Amino acid sequence: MKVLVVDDYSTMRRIIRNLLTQIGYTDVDEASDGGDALTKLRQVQYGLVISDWNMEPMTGYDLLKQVRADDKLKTTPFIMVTAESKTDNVIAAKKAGVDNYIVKPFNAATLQQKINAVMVPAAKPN
Amino acid sequence: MRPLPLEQGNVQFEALEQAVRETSRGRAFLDEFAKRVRASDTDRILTAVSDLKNTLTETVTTPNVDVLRRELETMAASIAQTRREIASIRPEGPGNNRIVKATEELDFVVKSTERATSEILTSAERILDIVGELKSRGVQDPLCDELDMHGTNLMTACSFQDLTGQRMSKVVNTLRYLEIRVNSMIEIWGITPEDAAKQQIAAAPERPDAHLLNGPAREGEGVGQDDIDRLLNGEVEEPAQPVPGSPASQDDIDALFQ
Repeated sequence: MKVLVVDDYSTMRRIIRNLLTQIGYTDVDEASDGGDALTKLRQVQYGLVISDWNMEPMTGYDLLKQVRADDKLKTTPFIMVTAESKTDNVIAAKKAGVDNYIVKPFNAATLQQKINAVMVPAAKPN
Repeated sequence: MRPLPLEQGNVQFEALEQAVRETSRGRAFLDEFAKRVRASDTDRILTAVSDLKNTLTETVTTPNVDVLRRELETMAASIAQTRREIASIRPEGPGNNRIVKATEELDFVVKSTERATSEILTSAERILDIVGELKSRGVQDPLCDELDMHGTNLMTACSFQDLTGQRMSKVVNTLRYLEIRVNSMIEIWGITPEDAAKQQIAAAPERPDAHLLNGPAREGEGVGQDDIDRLLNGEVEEPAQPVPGSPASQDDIDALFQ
């Protein structure tokens, strides 16, 4: 399964890529903002998107809304990994259709737990 | 007609009055005349009272005027002080604006932490690679698992750079906003470089070694440990006239070590 990691900080993309590799997801692509990610998502089929929120020019939140509005992409699991930790952010992301939400800084166990929750439909809350 | 002397005038006035009063029309005239004279006198007295009242009112409000004047003086002093303060942060020359310098320093902090983080990350990745290689060679040691755990922790800890970077960006944006506002004020108040220079002198730091305090050097600035060692070992001569606070160019430094 291909995973798309979206973050404007190359260091962060590198960390997430390494963590994904450790837990068995070795086929990882990177994008530096929402627009870049959207282009890749329309070219290649990804099984999971892990995206930051605060990016320019297109934010992760806008990317999420675009993904959910696109018939071909709307079922793609989407995890937000961000420093934006206010309740309003989480609620907005949930309303926009995010599957899970991780607050930075995070550890490998948290990332694995959230990915497992997203990838196993039965584990998802209604 | 020339007026009569007082005594002579009185006699004549009384005689005339007596003569006029002998008729009813004459008496009516004199009564009306007296009434009009009284009315005129009353008007004059009222005017005088009004003048006095105004004078008194002005006297009463004088303290308020004083307060107002003092307030205006204080305001003027504050405006002058603010003008001086703003002049003190006006750039004397290119690259010498304090806000610009602070912004550059923060940008530099972001870049430095990014570089350091990258180096730490590379080391963490190497540790994890070595652990993986050991395991693939059949090494079954609990230390491998421990190394694996620490390598992973090191890697995730590096995510601090993302957070500090974002916070720094907020501060940098705030400083840039302040810079724009201050520059607007400088423009509005017509603060000249001469004003700024005067204020720079006035606001000179009190520490005797202040001119030596520049903080960590950036790439291309300052000197390396080897250069310092050579300088301290007397292998290089000190410059005859060091200019306090002025950054040395690479040529200056190279000249020191030839």
